[in-house]
Amino acid sequence: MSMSQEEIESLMNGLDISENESSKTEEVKDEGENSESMSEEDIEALIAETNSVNDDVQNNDTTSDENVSDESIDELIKDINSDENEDNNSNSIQDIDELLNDIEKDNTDEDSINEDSIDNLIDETNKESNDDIDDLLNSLEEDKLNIESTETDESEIDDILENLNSEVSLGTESDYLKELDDLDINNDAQNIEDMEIEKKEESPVQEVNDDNREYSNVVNVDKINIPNQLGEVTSDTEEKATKIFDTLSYVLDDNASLRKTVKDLDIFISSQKKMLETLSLKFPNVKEFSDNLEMVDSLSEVPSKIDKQLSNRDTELFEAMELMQFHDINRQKIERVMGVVVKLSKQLNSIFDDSSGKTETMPISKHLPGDKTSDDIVENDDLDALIAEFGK
Amino acid sequence: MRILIVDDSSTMRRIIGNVVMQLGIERDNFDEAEDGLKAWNMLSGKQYDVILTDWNMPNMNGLELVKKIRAEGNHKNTPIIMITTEGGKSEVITALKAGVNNYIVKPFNAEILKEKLDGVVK
Repeated sequence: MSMSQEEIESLMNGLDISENESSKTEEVKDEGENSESMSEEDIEALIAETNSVNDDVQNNDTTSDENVSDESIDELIKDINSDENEDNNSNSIQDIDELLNDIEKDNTDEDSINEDSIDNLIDETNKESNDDIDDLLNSLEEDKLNIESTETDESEIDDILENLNSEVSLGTESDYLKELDDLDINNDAQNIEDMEIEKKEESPVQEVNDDNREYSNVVNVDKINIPNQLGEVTSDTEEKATKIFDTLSYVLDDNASLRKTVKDLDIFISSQKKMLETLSLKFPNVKEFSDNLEMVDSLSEVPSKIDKQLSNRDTELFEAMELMQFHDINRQKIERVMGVVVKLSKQLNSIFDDSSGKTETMPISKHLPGDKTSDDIVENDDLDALIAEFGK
Repeated sequence: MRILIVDDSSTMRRIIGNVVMQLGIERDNFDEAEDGLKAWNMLSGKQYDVILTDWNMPNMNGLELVKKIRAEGNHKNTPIIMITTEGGKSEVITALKAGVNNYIVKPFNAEILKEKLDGVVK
């Protein structure tokens, strides 16, 4: 395609080329204006340049080939600019893409590494957990086996119990009771209880236990309590004295019955003596009468002798009974000691502010036989004189 | 003769009873009391010829019993012999002033009791 000069000029005027290009064209214009006389070579060069520019424009503008207006040119210029920008942008996009690719590559590498390591870890943990689970399963199986074995044991125990029951059922109840009686368990238990009781009663010192541990070195007050002990002595001796007195009374009663028998015997002997005397007088030739009479004579004094001996024994028994008065005297001496102890106790209690007052006051003798601490004791003669003084 | 024996010691009561029996008094003719209070109660129901009493006794002692007998009741003139261990002169005088007829210090023997009994009964 060929353009005329006018078309070229109109193009030159109408083209909105870049500043450089426009400056060049302006320079050319200026040069042409400045030197109106251009050579044909310069014109051709210019045409050539414009052609090349047009070629470029045509190449870029695919939509409008021939009918290009000013607006379309402007659009083209804009498109060109935009293309240039697009080129720049394309460059930057490429870079970005490259970078993105690199990053993705790196990421993929890292991801691959991480995934590998994670997979390894998972495998390991799974392996370990699997091992643990296996162990657990094994232990569960063992437990199950044990349970089964215990079940077998229980079954064995049941069998044994059944056997025992069958054996027990063979014996009668009475047989077993008899065996128990032979064992004498009750007696043994009773003996043990008796031994424990004796052991407790042996020592007045209290046993050490949780309740009285702090008093372990203190005597048993209930057993060592002096008034109580002395009271027990007096009551015990009173009881024993009564028994002794009973025995003496029995002897006295026996003596009285013997005395009665001796008296009957004396009467019988006397009668026999009289009878034998009569018979011997009537039958002097019968020797048996005379011999028996002699024997009766010898026995006639025996009852009186026995009676006298019995009387002596009675006197001795009465003397023994009179001596029993000393039990009463000694009891009163003990009671006097008890009274002193009680008074001391009360005084001590008043000192230590003990208001229990468990003990009772008891009569106390001022003077007792054997006392040497008082000159006020009266003898029998003085006593008679005193009684006489009172006219009694 | 009926006798009341008052003593807190059962042994002593039996001893006195034996002595009394030696004197020819039957067992049914004497009674026993273990303290002054019981003796006083017995005296309200029976008449006795002689009262033999101890001094030191629980509840009511012999001296209180003597004073009570001499002060009231129907035994104001009944002979009383105090048989006690109290051998002090002051105690004897106290007892005589209270109204006892005779006084025996323990221990005693049958002869002394017989003598004293004969003395108060006469």
